[in-house]
Amino acid sequence: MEKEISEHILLPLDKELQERLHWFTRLRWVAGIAILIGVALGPPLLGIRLPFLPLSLVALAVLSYNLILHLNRYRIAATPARARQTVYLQIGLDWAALTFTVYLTGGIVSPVSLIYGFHLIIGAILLSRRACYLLACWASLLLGALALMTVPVGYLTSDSVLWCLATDSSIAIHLWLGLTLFFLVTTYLATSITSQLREKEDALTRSGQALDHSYQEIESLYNIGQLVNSTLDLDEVLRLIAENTTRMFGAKACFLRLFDRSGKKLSIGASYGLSQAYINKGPVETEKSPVDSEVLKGMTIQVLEVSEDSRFQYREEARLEGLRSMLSCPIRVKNRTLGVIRVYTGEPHVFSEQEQQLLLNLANLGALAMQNAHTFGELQALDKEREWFARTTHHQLRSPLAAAQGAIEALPFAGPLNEVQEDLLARARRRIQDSIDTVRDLLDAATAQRFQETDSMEPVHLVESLRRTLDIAREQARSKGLSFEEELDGGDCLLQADAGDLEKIFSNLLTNAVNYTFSGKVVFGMRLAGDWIEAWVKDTGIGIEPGEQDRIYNGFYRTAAAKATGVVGTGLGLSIVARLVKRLGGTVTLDSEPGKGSRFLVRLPTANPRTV
Amino acid sequence: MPNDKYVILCVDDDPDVLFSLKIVLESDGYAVVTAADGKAGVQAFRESRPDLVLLDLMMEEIDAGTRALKEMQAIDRKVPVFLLSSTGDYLQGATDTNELGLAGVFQKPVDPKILLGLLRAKLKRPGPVS
Repeated sequence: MEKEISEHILLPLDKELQERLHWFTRLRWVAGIAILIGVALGPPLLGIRLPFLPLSLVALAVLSYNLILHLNRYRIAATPARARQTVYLQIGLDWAALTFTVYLTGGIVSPVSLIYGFHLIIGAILLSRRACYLLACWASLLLGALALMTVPVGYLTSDSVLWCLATDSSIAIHLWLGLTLFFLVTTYLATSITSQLREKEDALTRSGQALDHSYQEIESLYNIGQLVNSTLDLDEVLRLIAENTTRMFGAKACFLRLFDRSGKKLSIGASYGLSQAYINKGPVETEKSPVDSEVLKGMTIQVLEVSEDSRFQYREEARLEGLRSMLSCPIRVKNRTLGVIRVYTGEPHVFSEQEQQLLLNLANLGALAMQNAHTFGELQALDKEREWFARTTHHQLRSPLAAAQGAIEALPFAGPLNEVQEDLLARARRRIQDSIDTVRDLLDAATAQRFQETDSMEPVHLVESLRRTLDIAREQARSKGLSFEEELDGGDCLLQADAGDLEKIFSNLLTNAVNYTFSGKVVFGMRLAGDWIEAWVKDTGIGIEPGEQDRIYNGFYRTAAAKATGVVGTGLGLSIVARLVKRLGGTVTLDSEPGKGSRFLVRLPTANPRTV
Repeated sequence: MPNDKYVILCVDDDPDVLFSLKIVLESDGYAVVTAADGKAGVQAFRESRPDLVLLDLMMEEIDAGTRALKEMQAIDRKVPVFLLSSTGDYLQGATDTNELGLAGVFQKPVDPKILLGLLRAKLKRPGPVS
């Protein structure tokens, strides 16, 4: 485009040309009508005589060719070549009409000759500098010719000023020189101004385009960022980066590779736009690839012709694939290099500074997403391992324990026992129950530690899901002679939680309350407090020393007082409660006085803050 | 009902569990037939025609428990079947005891008193458990 503009006589871009042609057409109506008015009103108002018929004919000619132009304006504008030819034609016709008009209104002395200046100004808009000066000279020549010609006497009355002037040759020469000077100055001014304007226009257009481009880039980067962070699946992230990078560059293909676990080899990755054959061409060993070695040092490398550059490893395969130029940069996050990314073009291309920066930006964008996905993947794997381990261990530990307990429980049924046998039996029974409880609590503690939110988080009603737990607690309390109260203000609350987790939290708290209370009552209560649900377990039990209140949430910790009661316990209950409550996004606090009782208050966020 | 004792079939892949159950059940006057896996269980069901079945859910093979249950029900739907389950076991497939047509579920380790009490109730035997 730029080449076309400077070499052509006609300067403006074609769209502007069309607009300007419209404008000239409109001006021409005015010109034609002005001549007619001049012819009609001039003689009566100014007292001069004008050749009515010829001038009217000129005016009509102008008006009619303008009409033709107007009617055919779309056909003219259809192709640039046609538009340009029309412009030349119009300029020629206009000048011919103008010259006739000047001639018919008195030649060199006609004030109409100043209109040449107007045409020169218009010319400055349309034509190159050189063409304008040429026209100026041409105007001068025309006037000179008109000056030399004798004006037909019959058109001017002898007593008009004009006639006197027309017949005096020295005045004619002065007029001619003056007009020529006027034309040249006008041309100079007009062309200077328009060329400055044009420069500014170009600069504006260029910066407008650059701005557009930058804006698009930013938008694309943002979209890519969103897209890439929308998934935690590493493969998907890599694929998205490869695809979007290719699109943003308008390139042929993109290939990225990440370091494997050892951190030494570039292996896993993703590609877009490459054939399977090329992907399978063979391993790229980092040490053996000069491009990769340099990129991993932190540099951005570009290769103009990959099939010919010795730094590139698989030249022949690249040539067959149709890869020409390549740009590569490291994928880094926080001073750690995760891998490399490459962009390939199908045509030879020199990548600009801006493009290199763009690739770095894309790589950085992807790096964070990759890291998240990778970490997430590792956590998932860890979770799965943990779960499997817990489940297997649980089963393997539980079965023998259950079998042993079964046998012990069956012993009395096989025949009467003496006192010592009863005693031994009771001890064995108690210790095995210990083991069973520990295994159960360990499993709970282990699963409470899982990182991932399971899909079992759903809106649940608190009291409803604790029904069974409360019933069991009530039974347990009653069998110890304690009273069990519920302080519910009648309503139930909805919260986002795993029902199993809720049961574990409160069954642990309630079991503790019942176990460590020997007279009095155990209370369960709940109320809605703003955006939070408050649920509490109160007892009139042994209480907890202030000094120990921080440590009770530690795993396997049992207070001295608790141990002194002789109650069997693992010490894991409260650590399970603490972990599960934290995972639900809540808090647990303790209010306790030794010898008087304790109150554990659990605050959990609601699913939506209204009582159901 | 040989010797006019109630017959209870116990199916579990843990021999110690079977033995303990046998001792407890025999002490309350039941005749006990045992089987160590699903197939043997169905076979024993066919041959001994028990009055009640205690069936372990999680045996060596996955689904062995539920498969055995279905086969037994196909032979005689009226015999009550109780499931023996460990806490934390996943019931593969149906999670509702009603769906499986079970008479009930016992958590292992089973409390003998509770077991005997429930069995007496189910079989409509009079008298308390000693």
